Amino acid sequence: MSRFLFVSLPLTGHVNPMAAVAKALSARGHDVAWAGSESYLRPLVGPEAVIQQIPLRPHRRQADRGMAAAKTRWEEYIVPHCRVSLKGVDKAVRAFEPDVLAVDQHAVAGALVAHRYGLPWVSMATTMMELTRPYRALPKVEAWIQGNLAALWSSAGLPGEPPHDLRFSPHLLVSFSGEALTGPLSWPDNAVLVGPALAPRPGGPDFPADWIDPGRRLVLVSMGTLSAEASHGFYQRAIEALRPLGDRVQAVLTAEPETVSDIPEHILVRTRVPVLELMPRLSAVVSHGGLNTVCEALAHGVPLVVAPIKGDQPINAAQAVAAGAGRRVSFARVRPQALREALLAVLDDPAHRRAAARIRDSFAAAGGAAAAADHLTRLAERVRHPLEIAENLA
Amino acid sequence: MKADMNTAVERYYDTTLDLYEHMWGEHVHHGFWDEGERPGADGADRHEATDRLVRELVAYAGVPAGSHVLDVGCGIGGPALYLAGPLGCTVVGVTLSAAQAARAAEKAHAAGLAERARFHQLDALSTGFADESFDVIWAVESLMHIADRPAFFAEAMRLLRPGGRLAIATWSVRDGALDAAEQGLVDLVLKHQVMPSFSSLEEHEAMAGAAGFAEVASVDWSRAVANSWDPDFALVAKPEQGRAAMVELARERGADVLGFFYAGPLMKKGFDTGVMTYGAVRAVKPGPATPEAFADVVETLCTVLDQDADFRAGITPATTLDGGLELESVELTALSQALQDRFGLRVDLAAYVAELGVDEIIALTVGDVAAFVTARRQNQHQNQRQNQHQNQRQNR
Repeated sequence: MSRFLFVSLPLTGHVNPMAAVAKALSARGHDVAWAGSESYLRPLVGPEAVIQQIPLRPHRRQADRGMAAAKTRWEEYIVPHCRVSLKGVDKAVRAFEPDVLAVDQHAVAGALVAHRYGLPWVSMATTMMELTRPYRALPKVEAWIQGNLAALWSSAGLPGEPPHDLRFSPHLLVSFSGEALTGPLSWPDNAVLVGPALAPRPGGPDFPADWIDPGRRLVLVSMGTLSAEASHGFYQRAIEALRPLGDRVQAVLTAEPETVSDIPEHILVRTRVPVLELMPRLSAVVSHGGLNTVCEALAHGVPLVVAPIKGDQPINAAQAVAAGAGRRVSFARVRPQALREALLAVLDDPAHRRAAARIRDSFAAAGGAAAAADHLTRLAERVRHPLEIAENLA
Repeated sequence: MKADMNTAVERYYDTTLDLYEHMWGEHVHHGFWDEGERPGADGADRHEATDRLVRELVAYAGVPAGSHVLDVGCGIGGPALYLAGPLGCTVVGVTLSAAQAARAAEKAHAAGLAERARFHQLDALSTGFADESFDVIWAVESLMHIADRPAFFAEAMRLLRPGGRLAIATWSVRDGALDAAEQGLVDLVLKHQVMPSFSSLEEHEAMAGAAGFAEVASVDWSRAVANSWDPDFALVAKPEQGRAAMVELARERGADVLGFFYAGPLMKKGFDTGVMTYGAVRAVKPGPATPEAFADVVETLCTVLDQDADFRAGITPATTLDGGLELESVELTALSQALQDRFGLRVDLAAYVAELGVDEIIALTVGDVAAFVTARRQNQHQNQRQNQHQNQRQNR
């Protein structure tokens, strides 16, 4: 049996797929621990999980869109998170003595500590952000990211320059997508695509199941967590798009109720919904295009309308469209009529549903959390004798 | 350190003024010959060749007739009087040498151009002239004397009006590392010519770009000017170079003056071995967008984004693409394509954005895009004119 330390970020979309892999490893009898905040992680990873506590520090808000979002993602989030969590991750490694670290691509502290102790580590690609190299056409932006990583490397007291891009482990890279969705990409040689890692989520929100009318088709509108000013009236435009469709469609809209008004009877507004429980009943998803939402929908063969906002969402939107499993609209600008047309196309054109079904089947074959657990276990088996690691740690 | 260099340059030109004028005439700079041209026989003599270098730089940098020009390192006013005379410019010349400024003013007066060409003893980096007060910054063989060259480009950026042009001719060195022997030669030239350092033409381009200039380009004129250092070829008047005369000159003016006589052999060797180079650099201060270009960009945006009049009315030149329009990368690509379809391949917005850093991309406005379109279209027209000009010359 082996020991795995999971290092993630306090972001639900990042933790969920890693939690599914951690559960799969635990179920096989491996020792799994998390390095992170007890109060943040506990509801997501379950009551039995071992957590090496690192206090959660408040961080500044990230910008909502575009390159400004990329700048704040690094300067206000990834870099500060690495700096404040480095000591805690180091302490967790000393206390837990893992064979392998499973590190979110944006939890750079995990990569640095793995290097410090010469431990094998896995990059967990919980978004598509880094894999498609979206800034390859912007050399100064790419250089600025490398500069951030090099500065973190040095401030951790490691010598010289990082030997490779710290977002990509030389040992193993696990992506929670699949080629049926991404199309051909130039993956690193050590990359494995396992598809979405889904596991029942503890303590999900209630949902009035009897509200659903089996005679109409059910649509979920889920745009992540958006403040009223950041939503640009998208929810209201979505309501206008749905308004004349009450005879055919019911919609569940995840939003703070006070951000929308004049809601017709066939639309239910809830702050949180049990997405995985609803999925089997859905005919379409309108989404901002977060990787988890896109992959969860496609894992159930549900086609999408994607209105990407930031980060990897435009990439996921483009991939879903290219795969035939969805339509893309502008989050900032789409007008109700165009949004309605896109939704009706996704509902009525069987080609979209067929494409989504193809991706569902390929995801199922890719193996999800179980396949990821296989790869992590195999890496751990290649590891040197535990006594050697103990020596390194001393 | 900088003050020391300025004092040395000032002293150098004060003490060599008559020597230069006697030997080189009113232009204290290289001559320009076509390859294979023999002065006197089928080519220009030194005076014609130095005149020609001025005309070549006017053409290369696109100095418009009638411009208001700052001449940095004006010498005794040779180029300034051409700019103020045949080209109809008004010129302000600055030099560190009071003697040069006085001699230049004298010559302007004699030529009847005293109203159009004025000269001051001033440091080009601290002239005190107002922001955006010149159409052209002209610097012929003066940048080598300025130790802080990035500061020169920054000051030129400040002094030029938007759309104004930078015209530089300068001594330079081959780009890249020099070996010890090459560096030794360069150091001798620097010492005797009272120059702090040389930059390569590529480094000049990089400094101009870093200062915010657009349309930056350079041309290597080494082969066209190298013969300036061959006394026989260029028909330079030969001074009495007897040992006694040199000693006398040094006693009279100080030993520094002898550097003047070292230049010839050193520069000839430098050009022969390719270590020393010479070239022109041109650049344009990014101009304001024309109202037509702004309207064109807004219209293209509306088409690409499929938006209506309300959207159009909300766009100002200060609207940012990233935060204001929330343009997605696919939309930026589509905008770039539409602009190219409309205005030609040179209006390549995607390539322009690809060279920007994170903060510059965040700060990019619709006005910037319109200015980019304006500059690229102007440049396109200018290139067409230059091509026509070249064709005409070739046909002759």
